[in-house]
Amino acid sequence: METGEVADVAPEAPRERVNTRLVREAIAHVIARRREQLPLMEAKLEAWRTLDRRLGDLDAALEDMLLHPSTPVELRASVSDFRHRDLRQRVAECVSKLVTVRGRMSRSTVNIGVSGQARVGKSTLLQSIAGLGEEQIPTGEGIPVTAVRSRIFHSTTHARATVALHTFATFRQNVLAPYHRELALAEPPDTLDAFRRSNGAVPEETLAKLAPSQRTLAKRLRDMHRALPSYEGLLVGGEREIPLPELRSYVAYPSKEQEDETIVPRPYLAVRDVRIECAFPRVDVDGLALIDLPGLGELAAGAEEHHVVGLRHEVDVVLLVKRPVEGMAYWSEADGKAVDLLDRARGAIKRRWDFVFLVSNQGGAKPSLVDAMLGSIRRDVNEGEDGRHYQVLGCDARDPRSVYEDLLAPVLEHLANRLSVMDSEVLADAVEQTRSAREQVKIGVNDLLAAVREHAPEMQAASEELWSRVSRIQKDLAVDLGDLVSELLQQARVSSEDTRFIAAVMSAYERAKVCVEDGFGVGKEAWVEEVLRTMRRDKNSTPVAARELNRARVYISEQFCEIDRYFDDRVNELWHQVSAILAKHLGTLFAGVTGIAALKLLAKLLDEASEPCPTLSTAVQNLLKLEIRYRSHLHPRVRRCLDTLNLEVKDPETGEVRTQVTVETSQQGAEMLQKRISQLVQQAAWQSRKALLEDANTVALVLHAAGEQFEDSFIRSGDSEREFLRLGRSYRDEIWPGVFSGLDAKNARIAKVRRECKGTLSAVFAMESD
Amino acid sequence: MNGDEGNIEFKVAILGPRRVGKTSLITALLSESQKLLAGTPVSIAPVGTTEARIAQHKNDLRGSLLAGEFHPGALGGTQAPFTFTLAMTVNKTGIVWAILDYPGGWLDARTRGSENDSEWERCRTWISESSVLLLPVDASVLMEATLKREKITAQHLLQVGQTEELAREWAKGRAVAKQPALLVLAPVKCESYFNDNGGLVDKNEELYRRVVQAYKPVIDAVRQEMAGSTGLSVQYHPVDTFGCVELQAAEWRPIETNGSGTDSTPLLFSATYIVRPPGTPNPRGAGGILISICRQIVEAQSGKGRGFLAEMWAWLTGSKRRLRQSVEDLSKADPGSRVRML
Repeated sequence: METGEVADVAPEAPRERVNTRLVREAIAHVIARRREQLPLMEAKLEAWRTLDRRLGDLDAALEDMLLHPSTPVELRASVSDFRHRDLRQRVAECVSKLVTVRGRMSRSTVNIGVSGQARVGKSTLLQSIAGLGEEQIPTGEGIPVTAVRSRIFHSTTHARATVALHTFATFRQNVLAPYHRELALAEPPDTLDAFRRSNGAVPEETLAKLAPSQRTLAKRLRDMHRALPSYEGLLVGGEREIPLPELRSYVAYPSKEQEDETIVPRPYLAVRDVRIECAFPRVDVDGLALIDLPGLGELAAGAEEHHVVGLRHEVDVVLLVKRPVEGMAYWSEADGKAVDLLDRARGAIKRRWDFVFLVSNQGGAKPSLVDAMLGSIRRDVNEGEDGRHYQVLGCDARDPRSVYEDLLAPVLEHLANRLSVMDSEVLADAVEQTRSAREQVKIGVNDLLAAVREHAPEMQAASEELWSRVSRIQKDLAVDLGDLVSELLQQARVSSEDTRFIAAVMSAYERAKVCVEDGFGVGKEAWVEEVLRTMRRDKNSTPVAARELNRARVYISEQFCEIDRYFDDRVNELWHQVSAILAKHLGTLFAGVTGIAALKLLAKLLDEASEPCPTLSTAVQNLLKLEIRYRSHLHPRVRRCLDTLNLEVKDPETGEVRTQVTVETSQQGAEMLQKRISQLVQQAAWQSRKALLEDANTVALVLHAAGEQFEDSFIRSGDSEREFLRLGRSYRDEIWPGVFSGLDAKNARIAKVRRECKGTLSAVFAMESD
Repeated sequence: MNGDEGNIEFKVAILGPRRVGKTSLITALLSESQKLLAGTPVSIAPVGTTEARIAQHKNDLRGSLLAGEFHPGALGGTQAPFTFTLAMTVNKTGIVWAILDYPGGWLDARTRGSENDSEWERCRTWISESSVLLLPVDASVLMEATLKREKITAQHLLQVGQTEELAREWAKGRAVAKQPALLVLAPVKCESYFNDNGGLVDKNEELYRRVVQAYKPVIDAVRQEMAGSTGLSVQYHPVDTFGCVELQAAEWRPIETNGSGTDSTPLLFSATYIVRPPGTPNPRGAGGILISICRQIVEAQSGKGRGFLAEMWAWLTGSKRRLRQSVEDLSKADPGSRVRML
């Protein structure tokens, strides 16, 4: 008993008429269930094809890695171990299995295959079931007549034949090539024209070496060539509908008379497939089809495997026809080979009798021969017990009634009962095979991955090199920024004077003085004239005096606000200093950009890095926010100097408010007011100058504080070290251009293997999650 | 006794650079002394050419004040040694405060000129015989110096180095003679730094700090020479020499050097003052100097020491008792809150 076979005895063949309705419903149910399974099978098939591609990519990556001389011996050994697992073969088998299952699930009909050696009455049997005649399914005495096997579908709506035609390419591949292979000939001609020009003859020296069976093949090949004019017009591909009465020439070998013609017509050679639709006279079961299988003893060279695959894809059950005629009423070696072939096609179906029925076409046969043949089957096939492996159904193939009652009815009932079981067995087998293969892939790839980790020190070296360089940058920046901060501290704390700040203050002071001397911008005389007019209108000097003093106070502040330009210069200098230090250590990251633009670029790069660095970015952005303004940083200290520019002041001794300037409403009074206000403004300007110069190191203090804060947050914050590493990884080739390219060349291959391993495992995990 | 018949001359030495405001200080001292002695039988008045000198000074000042702007440079500096004499008398008998004013430039041998050597020797003798050394200090020079170069210039203008040498010589003489010594640091033109005399801003602490810091070498030298003596008193008397002005602006101007000047080349200092309405002079702080001198005289007597001060005290007897009483009363008067003992 072969593996996978279950030896329980086949059920007793029913003898009473089958319940067609129940059969019809059962078969319809099976077909519906199969359709439901189809999307899942499609998805599984796609997943396995993806895994197959992944393994292909991994194999290519491994090949590439092995080409590099630096790949360690240990790793090479691991790759070799991995390849010995033949995982791709396992996956290919899974794909093949799933393709078969999908084929089974995608069938919209239940297909009954009819097989048997030549001249056992297969065609007669098919005629009886389908109600067809010689023009559709030719029969003959003595010689084989069926050149193309038909698929016959029960249809109550159509009666037609659809012929699928070869192109020359498919003709070459499916018809010519097997003959050439079997005869050890060169590849068939590439084009129809070339085939036409060839003589189609097998060379004499080759012919002499051929076995007798091969000589037959050689003759057939020559016949094909000679008959080309009769079918080359049909080598156009596509389908052609043929009226049933005209079908014979497309499916039958030439008749004896035709064989004598100069050009033997062989249009069947252009036919790839024939599909006949017609109403089966006795069986009204939707979705029932008959598949005319080649006589197993008449298979063309190399066609056996093709036949097995075809059986798996196409049929749900096979009727192996045998006829008890003189000299053949026994179980022959050819019969044994035929069932062996069918057994391979059975695949995951556990019971032989589920898939194959032996049919004894005993119409007109001598009863003794029938008994002899049945005895031979019982003895040689069923191990002395009827139905042990195969059920034998006897009928008269010529008699449609016998065919239906004795053969078709029990087969249909069998299918109604067992088809869903067979489907389950096929599915379970696929699940088990794919699960096993999946585990094999997982183990194999994980082992490989572990080996890569263990034996690929280059990756580690690259990582350590990066870490070392990042660490060095951080230290170097710490030194240089530290020096800058020390320099800023020196400027802030040492009494050296900032000549540019002094110049800026002096300039502002001089502007204020000039303005006062110029009558506050309008000229002394105009000022006096205007003030006098106002005094006369107000009949009082106080309002205009108060207003002019206020204006003067604002004006002085505005003059000193001009110092902001100097502050901007200083802040820009700091940005340039810092960016220069950063640029010195960050390779080409700034791409030649300097100053504020460089810092802005850095902040952007830190934010947009593949591994963002928020702490470093914040440090840079805070530095960029640095702004020193006269009004915010210095004016509060200068403000008290402008107190004198109020009309009313508080007497420090008495606490009483006194008016600083009171003049009479006259030309002289206005002139006196001009003089007095000028004096007070000059005094306030001088005091402001003094106060600013006394705070001359304010800018230096602010710059030092900003520099120190940047240094602290950029270099020494808690996340600094981690983010420097992130920066290094994100912009490695910009910071150290070319440094890692050498290591990359070595590591890329290994990295690719790792990536492909992970990709393969991902594909496996995706299957598991399904 | 020294001086005019019927009077005793009390020598006071004054050491200060040119244009520091020595005449102004003495004018202020006279003015405030007159206020202190008002209502007593004792009067104080300039004597001889001093009267004309002070009158001239007052006239110059009045002109400036009337113009509403005050430029110290407008007052004529002393061109030759001159002894101010202020007679504090009762019935034409009394003490003559003799204060030698000499050209400020003479402190510096380079600007004094050898032709003045003998005159300078007389000045030095005067200084050594003085029990009071008065050091007028231009407060604005010290206070308006902000930048390093300005501060260096201020030190240069105040001639602290030369003052130190002469003060050391003065102290040495006092120590040798075992006589009391009163060193008075008298910042002048202090109106802009006090708010007790019409000003709005109080910077008196900063002024004190700057003066003491600048004159520390002088004070140290005097203390070194007088080490072991008990009669040394170092006092700080900031004086509003005019009382009705305040600094408007100052200018630190480079000296014309035809391009040869450097960052360390001294600057020229000038200041412009605003006259506070109504422009009436109202000096403050100088009276404390008179009180301190009187206190020195009284304390010297109580110590039963010998020498000029003891002789002077002994002289103030009989018909001069009322003068003696006046000195005693002045010695007990309040010198004012500005005065500090160093």
